[in-house]
Amino acid sequence: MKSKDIASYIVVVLLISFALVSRVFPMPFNISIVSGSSMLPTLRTGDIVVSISTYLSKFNVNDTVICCFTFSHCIIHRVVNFTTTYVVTKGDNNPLPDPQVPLKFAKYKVVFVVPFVAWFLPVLSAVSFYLYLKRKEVKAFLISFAEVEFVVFAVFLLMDLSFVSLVPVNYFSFATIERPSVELKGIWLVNRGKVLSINYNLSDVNLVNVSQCVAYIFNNSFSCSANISDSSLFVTISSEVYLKAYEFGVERINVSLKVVLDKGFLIGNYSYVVNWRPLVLSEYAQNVTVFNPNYIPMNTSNITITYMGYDPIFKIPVVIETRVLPPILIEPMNNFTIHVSPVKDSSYAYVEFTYKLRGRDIFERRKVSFG
Amino acid sequence: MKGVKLALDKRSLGLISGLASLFYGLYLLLVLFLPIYTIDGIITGYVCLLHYDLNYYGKPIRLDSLSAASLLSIPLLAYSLFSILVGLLFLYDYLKKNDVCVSIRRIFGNALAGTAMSGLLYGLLNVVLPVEVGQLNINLNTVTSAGYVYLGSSSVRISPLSSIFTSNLVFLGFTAFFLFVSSLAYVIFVKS
Repeated sequence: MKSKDIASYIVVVLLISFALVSRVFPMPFNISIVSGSSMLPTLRTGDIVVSISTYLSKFNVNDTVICCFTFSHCIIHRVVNFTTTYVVTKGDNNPLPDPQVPLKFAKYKVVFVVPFVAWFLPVLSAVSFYLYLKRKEVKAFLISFAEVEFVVFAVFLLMDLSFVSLVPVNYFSFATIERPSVELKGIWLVNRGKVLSINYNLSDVNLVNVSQCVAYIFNNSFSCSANISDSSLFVTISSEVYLKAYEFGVERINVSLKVVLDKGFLIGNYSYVVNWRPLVLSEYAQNVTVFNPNYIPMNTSNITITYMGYDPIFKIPVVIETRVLPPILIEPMNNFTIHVSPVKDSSYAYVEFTYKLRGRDIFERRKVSFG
Repeated sequence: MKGVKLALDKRSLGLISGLASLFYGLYLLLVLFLPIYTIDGIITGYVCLLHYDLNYYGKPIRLDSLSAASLLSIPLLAYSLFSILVGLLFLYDYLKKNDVCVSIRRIFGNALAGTAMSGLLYGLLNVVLPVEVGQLNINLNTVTSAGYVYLGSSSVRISPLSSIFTSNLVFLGFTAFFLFVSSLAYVIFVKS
């Protein structure tokens, strides 16, 4: 083998070595071949990227940089954020950014891209043309097989080094793959306490159905039903649950759900508070309205309307008439109105009734004026 | 008589080196196409050196690291095909009783290149693939504000057959044997 040929081999090996060394030690520029699909459609597998060192040219957000962690592990991604200490990159085709890495790993800024189709065919043509021009020497070589062992070794060694030096192995991080997530957004009661609305923040996952729905009061369980609408569940709570809670004096109700997701399932235990509150009375225009703020029906009894007037001589209040009404059941979160029409000589009236709240007798009275 | 015996030994050694080249190429081809890792769970599929097929929740996914490994396996594919070709050419010359000197030289060159290729194969089998495939061993079951969210997990298994073929002892031993036999044949056929 001529010394000229040996020199040319050495030059090629040095050039390839330069590509490897430039990943670890700062060099003014770097040449790499793209592999993978994370930068589609900007960069494709086989594209050659020419980049210059970040110490020669600073990068900015939206620049494409090469981050090298070891001599074999590098990524070519776009900068989405950076500070004086770290850089965050993202593949154009990746749903999520890469984990942040120290700034020193961003070694090169891509300045020039040669698409695969633009370099491969010309190189192939050039090699073919060269072999055509040197066909006599090639033929003579093939016939003589001179130093064939060295050529075989050199060809494969060069091929090996070329691939290792030009194809960076991108680090894979599962953090860059979109992971489904289910978070609770909020719980509230709707439809007068009959329905518990549970809202979720869903990412890359959908609710399919509810396979199990149980409400708990102490050790008592009550089955419930649930409907799905987008990212919300509507759990129908039976009145029996509230009646039992009222009976036990419990203000916290627990609901256990098993929700089937399109990518798994969710077991959720949710609780909400019900406050057992006294009836709310209001009087307006000779009407006494009684509002039941609870999720159970409330029974009122001893309802009397006492009409009052004034004695014409002594000007003292006297009872003119008393009316007794039958007991009234006020439905949950509902109103009941008692209309008080004045009777002859009455100036005002008292509306009175009693009810029980958690074992206590409560007496209510409202004055209705006719003046 | 001694000369005849030596000639027979010489031809046998040549035959062994030719067969070693052929089987080394076939072995590499097997290693390249054999699924080394199988993944079950939310990620399903397999990973070979030259190819991988992975599905994440039933949707195909591409991983740059494994694509790069496939790209890096191309020289190994070229090398294994060349190794088979060289072995077959030797067998042709051997059976035709032609001069096998050139074939032995090709085999020797091929065996030398095998040392460089084994470095690449070692790196792919022991550094790149285990690190990258290891990250597919994931567990997405978690507890959030919504409750216990079971989103599944995936587990990576090394297929038993490939664990034998890709063990360092086997492929480095095979490479060393190939190099030793071909060097010996080279010395006896070419240099003597």
